[in-house]
Amino acid sequence: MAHEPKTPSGGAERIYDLNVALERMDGDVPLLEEVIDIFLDDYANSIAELRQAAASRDQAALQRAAHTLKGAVGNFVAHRATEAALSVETLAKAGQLDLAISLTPRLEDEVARLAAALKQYRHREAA
Amino acid sequence: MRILVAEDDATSRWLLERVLRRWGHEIQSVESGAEALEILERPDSPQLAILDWLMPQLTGVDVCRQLRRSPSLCSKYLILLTSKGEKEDVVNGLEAGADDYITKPFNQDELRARIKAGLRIIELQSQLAERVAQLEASIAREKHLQGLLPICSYCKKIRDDRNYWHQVESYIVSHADVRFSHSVCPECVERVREEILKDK
Repeated sequence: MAHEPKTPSGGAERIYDLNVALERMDGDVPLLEEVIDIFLDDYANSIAELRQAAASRDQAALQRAAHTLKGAVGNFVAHRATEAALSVETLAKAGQLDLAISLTPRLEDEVARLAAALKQYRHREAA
Repeated sequence: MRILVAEDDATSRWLLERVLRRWGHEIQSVESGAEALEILERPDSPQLAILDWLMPQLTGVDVCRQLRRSPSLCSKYLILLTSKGEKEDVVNGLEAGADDYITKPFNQDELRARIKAGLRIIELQSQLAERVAQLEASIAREKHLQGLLPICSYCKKIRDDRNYWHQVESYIVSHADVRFSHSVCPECVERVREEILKDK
């Protein structure tokens, strides 16, 4: 393959694992890159929904917003972001609304970090 | 094959659409359970649907449950999208009427295999439905010959529903899936021979 995606090295926790993501997509690099672009275009909407749900203390909406984000970041095997989304989703589902809301900033951070890393990756590939 | 995709996350929805189109399927996609239900309730809607678990308005499970209540829609093949570690949800989903499930993020080989299994079931079902229709049509034809037939005691003609009298032969030909091959029985052979001899 001409341009094999590289998982960022350095730092104990990996932000994403594009090699595994690519394996799931039958090794189709252009497809992976398109999925990244769609995510980068869309993730702000999901974050806005998460914030809105937390602000209005809407338990079902918070669970759903976290679930949606979990699905989106899961495409890039982003363990930390997935875990943060899962925590918010699970706590909201269990009715622990305050705790779930208190974890939404961490989820936002993880998603922002993933988005930044994916942007960097696309920038590198385009260069 | 036409497939409906219902998924509120744009990234996953786009990936599903893209992969399924590449495999030659025609994709219709929506972002909520309510939209999915509305499309699946239309006549001539896709036979196979991939439904995300948690969506605004109606969840994928709600959609399954509602479709299974309707006799005309219960033949739809429904695949639920779930996340890893939601085994309990999988059981609920299957009990609500889903045919199968795929764990997100999905692996392409697994998705392809599950779609193939779904298409096989849909094909089998449509063959069965066709066969049942054929059988019902032939039963409907046979039914005409059941029950009480008014027959003339002298000339043996049969009276139809509209009060016309028919020869037995023409009546049966028009009311059953049979044809007559004409012949002469030994008694009649004897009778005809005697009549001929007498005429001479």
